[in-house]
Amino acid sequence: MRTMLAEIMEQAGFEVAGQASTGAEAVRMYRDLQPDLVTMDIIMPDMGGIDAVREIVREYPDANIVMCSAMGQQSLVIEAIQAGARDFIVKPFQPGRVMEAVQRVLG
Amino acid sequence: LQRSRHADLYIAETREHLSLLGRGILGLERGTEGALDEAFRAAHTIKGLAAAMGYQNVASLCHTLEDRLTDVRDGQRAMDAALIDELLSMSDALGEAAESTFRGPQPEDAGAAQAFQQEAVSAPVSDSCSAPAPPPNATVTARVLFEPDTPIRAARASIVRRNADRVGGVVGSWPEPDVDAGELLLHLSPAADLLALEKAIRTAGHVADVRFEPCMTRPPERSPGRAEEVEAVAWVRVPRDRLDDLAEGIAELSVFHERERLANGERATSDRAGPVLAELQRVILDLRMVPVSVAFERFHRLVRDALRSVGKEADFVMEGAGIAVDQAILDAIVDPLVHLLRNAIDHGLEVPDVREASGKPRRGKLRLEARRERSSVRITVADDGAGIARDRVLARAAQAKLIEAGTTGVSDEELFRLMSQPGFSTAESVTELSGRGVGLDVVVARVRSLGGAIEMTSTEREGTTFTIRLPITLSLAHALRIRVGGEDYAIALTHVTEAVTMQDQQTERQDGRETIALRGERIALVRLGSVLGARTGNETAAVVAELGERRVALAVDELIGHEKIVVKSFDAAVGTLPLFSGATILADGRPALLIDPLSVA
Repeated sequence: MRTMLAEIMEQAGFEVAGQASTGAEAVRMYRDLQPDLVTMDIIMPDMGGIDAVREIVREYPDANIVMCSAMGQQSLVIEAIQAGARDFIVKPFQPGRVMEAVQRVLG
Repeated sequence: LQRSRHADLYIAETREHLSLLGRGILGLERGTEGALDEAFRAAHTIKGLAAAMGYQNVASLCHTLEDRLTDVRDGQRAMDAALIDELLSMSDALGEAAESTFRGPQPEDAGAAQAFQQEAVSAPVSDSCSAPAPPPNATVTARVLFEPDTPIRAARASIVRRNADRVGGVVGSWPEPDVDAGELLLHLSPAADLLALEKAIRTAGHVADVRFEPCMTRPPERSPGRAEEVEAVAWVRVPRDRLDDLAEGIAELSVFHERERLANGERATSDRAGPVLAELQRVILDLRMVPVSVAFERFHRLVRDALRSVGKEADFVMEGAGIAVDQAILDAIVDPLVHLLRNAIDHGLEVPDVREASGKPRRGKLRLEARRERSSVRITVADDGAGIARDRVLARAAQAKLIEAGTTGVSDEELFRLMSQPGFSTAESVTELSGRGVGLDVVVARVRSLGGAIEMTSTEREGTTFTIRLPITLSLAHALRIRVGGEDYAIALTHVTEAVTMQDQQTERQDGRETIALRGERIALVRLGSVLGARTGNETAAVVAELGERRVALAVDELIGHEKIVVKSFDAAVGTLPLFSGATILADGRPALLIDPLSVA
């Protein structure tokens, strides 16, 4: 899933600065890389995606985080948005939809 | 639901201005002075109304139309029929857009839509929508509509909410954050920056539309100052049936009052309620009166389109558009007038070449005139076309066994009577305009059901004129109470010109009909007793009725007097009782039938 998303982003001309596989790793990596944009799964091992968002936004209020969710995760997505996520995309990913969200957030 | 009340106002005003726009465009075609300005003003107002409601589609259509008008003003576009057609179709599109926006993204099933509308009428104050009332400090509600395929709409709504919160001014919202209601309402304080809000809302993505609507449950806090308050009460739109109920109530009250007054006899001098009731009646009548132009305005377009579709040319003249009549009457008479106008265009007026060949100007004349006459209004539809082809009408009537074959020399009255038989039509082909079996009989029935009368005069090669006389109002009529064969009847004064005593009358037979002399003229006398199957010979008076050229005297046993009556509609099958046009309750409480004096002429 992560690779697929990375492909979509690279094809659109973005550079993928790093890929984390857990929530805690994501927070650490954000401090090091301070990327323009983060896409984050809602469900992740150890620290969940929502906690990771909360953590990152606490330190970097302008962080641009787009949540990746499946249909049926409505309340989790809302929680993530309240935690500071900018937008969300829904699986299965459609390149067009992904880029729309990215442009909205970076726009 | 709050929206729907406002939307009602919106659509009513938009319709008015659409009709002005249509008039302006047609004026352009005729080269009427000021027509361009009128069209401009109307388009601009429609745009403003739509923008105020947040109906962007309507507003942008208006904008396009204004652009086209600007081209005309600046001489960029030549005025020709094609341009007029284009402008008219744009105005049509505008009307459709306004109507469909007004109906909104409605539930699929019509039942719900209907219930929605009924609620809007019957419960205008209570908010029966599931959305709770907006907070008291809210003056505007932003209604956010999402694209149909928006994934996880409730989450998208959260983004909208957050974006709007950042701009500020949001004092409440609906529904709860984790509920998907299909749309999102944001209640805004007077301080909210609507432009910035709309921008922020739209950047949340998947937003199809943002509509700003005034909150209705609580009036916006007014800044102190009387001027605004006066403005606020200057106009009230009320559903018509409320007004009808009120009018009927007042009318019945005044009939009761009259009954009391008659019962009390001489003590009537201390009548205090009388003048008050009379004033109330005047006020309510006034409220229901609208100028005929309200309905006639649309005829310009109708006539134009009808003429074009049959390739005929005519100048259409409307006169007396400012004459005021009861709106209920106006509504009811529109269809018959449409029918008469279409008939005139389809069957009356000739094509230009034929007109030229018979020495007439290529362009015909079509005239619609309203005129106040005593307590009634007279409407004339006249054309300078070929006139009624008597031979064809008579042949057709003979075919239908209405008259004997070979009959000639019938009067206009008789001709009209034949033509208004149900299903009678001489149209050789069914055209787009008329000849679909809805005939003059329907027109006659409608006019009569309103307590009116219609007559026709026609001269071959010169044209045909229809004259309709209608009461000014339906609710209360002045009537003459008469007695025939021991029964009391009422005759509406709409058509009555005078009453004469029979004692001084020398009746005389002319063309097989009994006549009396009235100021040197002989008019037909009909003994009501013989029509009603009662004994005749003891008539003491005759009531003279008139419409256009037609006059008739109705001999009655006794003339009782003048009364105010409330006319109740009459559900007898059309054609079964040509004599009676309605029923009423007389001042002494007795029911009586209302006689249409011209039906026996």
